[in-house]
Amino acid sequence: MTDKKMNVNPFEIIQTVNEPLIVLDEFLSIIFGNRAFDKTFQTNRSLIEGNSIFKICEGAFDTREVHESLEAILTCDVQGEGFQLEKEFPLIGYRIFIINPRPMRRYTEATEKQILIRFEDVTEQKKAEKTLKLKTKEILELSTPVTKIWDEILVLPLIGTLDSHRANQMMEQLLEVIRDTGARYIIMDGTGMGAIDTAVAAHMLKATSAVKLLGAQVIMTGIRPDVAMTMVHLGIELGDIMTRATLQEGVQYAMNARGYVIVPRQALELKGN
Amino acid sequence: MERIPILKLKNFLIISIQTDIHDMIIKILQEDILNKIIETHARGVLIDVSALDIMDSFMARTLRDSAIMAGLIGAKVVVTGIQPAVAITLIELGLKMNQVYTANNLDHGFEILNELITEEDFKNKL
Repeated sequence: MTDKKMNVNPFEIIQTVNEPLIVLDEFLSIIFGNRAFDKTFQTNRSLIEGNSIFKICEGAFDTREVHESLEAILTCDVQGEGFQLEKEFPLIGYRIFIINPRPMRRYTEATEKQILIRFEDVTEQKKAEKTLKLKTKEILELSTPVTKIWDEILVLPLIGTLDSHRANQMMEQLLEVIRDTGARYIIMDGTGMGAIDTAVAAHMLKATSAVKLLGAQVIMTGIRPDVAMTMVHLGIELGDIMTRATLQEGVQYAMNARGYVIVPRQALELKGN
Repeated sequence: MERIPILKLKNFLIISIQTDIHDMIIKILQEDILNKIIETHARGVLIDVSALDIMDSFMARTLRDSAIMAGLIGAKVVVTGIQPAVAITLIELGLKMNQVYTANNLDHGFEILNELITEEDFKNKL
């Protein structure tokens, strides 16, 4: 049993691992790098083995974090924390790696310290995260399409489900637009709105109060019958928010309040005759 | 003590609050508004706060109280130009400004005052 254990060559195991790995000696020179390392950094065993880690790949690893982390392992023998290295690498270009250095367990006759460094390529992952964040922001902005339809009259279609984050963003954006355009009537159209719950209703009430402080009035339109039913069942009261059945009626109300009347041309022509 | 000027235009008073002011000054302003209404027989008061990026609850409450007090001595008060950030803060604080008329800018506030006064005059004639 003990004999079998002694025959294990850790480097052979390392060689089969898919992740880039290198082993350093106590002078931080590379004893061994596996195939995955060669492939990832487009280098060759003969180019790196025996060289200092700070020299290989045109000094890509010659950074403060790498120095600090490796020295900590050498001096205190603590397992280093993984850290992120984000830079332009030679041959392979811009990459983000999580670097995990740790002291290696010494096997049999080995007496000197050895450090195993594991590289994790998170470039794609980080890129995806970044795009996702950007897209989320874009969608949030798109979801508040405040449109001016007449002097001092704005329409805000409510689309999808409102969560508190979206509701707050919507309120902020709406208030900015009201201030900038000097609008006095805001028609909120709920035709495209999903179900409403007490939290959403509370947000809408807050938004209407804030709108009122800016000197404008909210007209709620297009609340679907099923939504109206849930609202009543939940005991949600919209207070003094003006409501109208359809967007058309909402527009009509706002226009009337601004002193405009919509009449068919025929009616005018008849009068003219 | 520093005072906020109150301007008279026809039968309206115009007050513009430009900087973040001390609690004491806003209290004095409240008294000044009421005295000036009596003195000038003003029918309406416009308070413009568009230059304020923050408003604390004391100031908001004092403004609201002033509006109610002015109503008691026969003048309508319109607060104009509340900034979006201020509006959100006031709502978060749960401060109700129901009794106060609000407007986006001075023009709009002026319009509201005129409407209110015509309405009142009409009622008085009946």
